[in-house]
Amino acid sequence: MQDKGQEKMQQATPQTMVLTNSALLKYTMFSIVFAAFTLLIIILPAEYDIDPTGIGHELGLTIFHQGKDASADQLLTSEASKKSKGDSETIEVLVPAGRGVEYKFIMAQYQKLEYEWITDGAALYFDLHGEPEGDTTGYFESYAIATLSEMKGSFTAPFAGSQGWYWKNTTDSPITVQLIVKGEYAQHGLK
Amino acid sequence: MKNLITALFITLMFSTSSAFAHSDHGEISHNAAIEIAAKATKQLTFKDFGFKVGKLSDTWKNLTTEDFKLHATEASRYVVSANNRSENKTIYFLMTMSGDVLKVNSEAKF
Repeated sequence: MQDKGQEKMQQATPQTMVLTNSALLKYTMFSIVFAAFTLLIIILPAEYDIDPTGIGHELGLTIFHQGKDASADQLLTSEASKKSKGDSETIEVLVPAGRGVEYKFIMAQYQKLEYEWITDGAALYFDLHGEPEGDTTGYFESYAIATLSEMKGSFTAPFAGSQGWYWKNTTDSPITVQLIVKGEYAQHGLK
Repeated sequence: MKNLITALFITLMFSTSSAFAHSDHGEISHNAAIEIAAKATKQLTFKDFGFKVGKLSDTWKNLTTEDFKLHATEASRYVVSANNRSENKTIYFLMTMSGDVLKVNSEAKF
């Protein structure tokens, strides 16, 4: 009866948490072990591609890094890739009056390109898009369409193939585009 | 059990915070400031952006990373120098800590 009375009192009054040193030590140790476990199993494989246990791979956490490695194997020329990956490259493209030109980069799947382009005059209509390698249906996927005189950004190729810009000059004067790129690609040029 | 769940939740929050945290978008490094100056130099050889230096000659296209130096770090501003050895000229870029180029001149006085 006395125990039941005490139980009722505990339910009625707010609980106060009293941590003894041993309990605190126990929780701290548990937290450290859990944090280490999470670091090894989830964070290191997902963020840094370090997977000492192999569980990260089984859970699919290393997929982004694997994509990068696999795409590197698909490069047309590894030498060109090495050259293009580290340094930025400056390209000038002339878009004649009343016409459109297409400038493309050959990229493997999941390769990334950082870009910045400016025109020397008016704004140009453009379509930044990709065409899958070997496709004969005329299919292409647009990543950005606008009319601008400058643009900065980056994209990751969703599939192997040619990736780049179609610029259309609707003015009566030729316009030159300065394109600065940095990233992973095998070849580039006018299409 | 309640305490254990609380401890688990707190641990989880702390352990996953490093996975969510990424570099600050606001402030760029010295090296990034130099890269921006190098790119801006290329763009200035292509077009006059209205800076004091105007449009630069083609010899500025040949500058390498070694020709760019962090000249000064002032209050919330970077000053990066670009030295064109072939013309024996130096220009200076004043940029914000987030990498926006504000002024370009030959005097380093802004």
